[in-house]
Amino acid sequence: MKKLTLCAVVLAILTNACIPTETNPLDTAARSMTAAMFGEPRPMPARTLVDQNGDPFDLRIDTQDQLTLLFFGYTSCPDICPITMATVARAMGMLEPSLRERVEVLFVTLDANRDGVDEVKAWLGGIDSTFIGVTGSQEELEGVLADFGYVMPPFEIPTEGFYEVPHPAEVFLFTPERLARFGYMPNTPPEAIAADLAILAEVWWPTEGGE
Amino acid sequence: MSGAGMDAHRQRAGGANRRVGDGRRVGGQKLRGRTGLVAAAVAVAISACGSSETGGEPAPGASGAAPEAGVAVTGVRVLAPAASDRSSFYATIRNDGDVPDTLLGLESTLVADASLHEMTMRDGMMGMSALEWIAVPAASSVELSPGGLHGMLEGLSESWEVGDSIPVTLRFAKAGPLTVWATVRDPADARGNH
Repeated sequence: MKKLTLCAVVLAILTNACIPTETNPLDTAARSMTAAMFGEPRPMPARTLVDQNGDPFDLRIDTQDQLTLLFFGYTSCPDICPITMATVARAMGMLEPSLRERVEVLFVTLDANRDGVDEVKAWLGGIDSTFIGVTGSQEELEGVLADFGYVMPPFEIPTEGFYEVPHPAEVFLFTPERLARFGYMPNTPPEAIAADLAILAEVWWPTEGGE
Repeated sequence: MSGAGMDAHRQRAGGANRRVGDGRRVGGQKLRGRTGLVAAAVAVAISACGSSETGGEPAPGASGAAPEAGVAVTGVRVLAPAASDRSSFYATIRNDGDVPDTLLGLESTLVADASLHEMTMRDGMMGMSALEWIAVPAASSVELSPGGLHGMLEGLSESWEVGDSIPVTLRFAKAGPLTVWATVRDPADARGNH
């Protein structure tokens, strides 16, 4: 009988330890999301680049109070960049208009040599002209990448012909505090991204009657 | 940054939970055949399909199979070119035979150059490396898909529209040449076979 009581006490302690009485709404949301949640969120780099209209774009100030999907790439990229951006564009088309207004898609080129303001604008025009694309000098662009925790491996720019530019594979999802908390690998279906955004929006902007 | 994600990516790239050997291109050697070889390859592939029709072209959209060697190619698709004359080739290659085979290269009369590549990840950064060949082990399947192994097509002869069919010949070491019709897909529909 004593043993049984001891077991009950141990069980009670274990149960208590395993199930916190108060759960973080973000963690709860993350459990039903497809996106991979980063152990340590990464802040949006505090840098200013130039958008496709030639206007300055402050990565931190101009992305507050919204959900931001960020992708690093280059417009000459043969497959992963157009596939990723077209997939994100399709996901955006699946959102309710009120949610769509709270989400911004940001493309940061890593190829200053080929991607000027006009090239970024033309490329995004073929995908979704509401997306924001930013460029800058190669030093500035790699600075943004470095602030975000990535090191650009050396790559060669030939005098003529095509060349590749290394870039992170993921689409990063920033919450309104401008922290990248989630990432999507290539091959994530647009439905999953759209569903995730709706779940996440509920954490910041709960709808009436929602949970 | 996301180790689990990268593992998943690698698994996809390898296909069917199997390790897939690959041959990195050395010395910039290209594996393109001459025009005559392409024509011969197409002819061989047509007869290899075992169709009752002779002399005709394979039906657009049809997948190819070389029954004796047991290699079948399905889910064949190419990417609608965005703003360039480049495209990517994706497919599932299944080897139902008892002998391992090797994909030695790609050819198409509608492109200037076709080669095999693999997306690689290093420290979270994605890059690409050229491959000399892709192993297709016995009783297994290999995925050529976005973010993994794939074919790169350069110098497209004309602009390709979504829904078009593009003939691509795959050269296998044992099964020989196999011509398939790849459907041009919108980038948002390029991921899977569906």
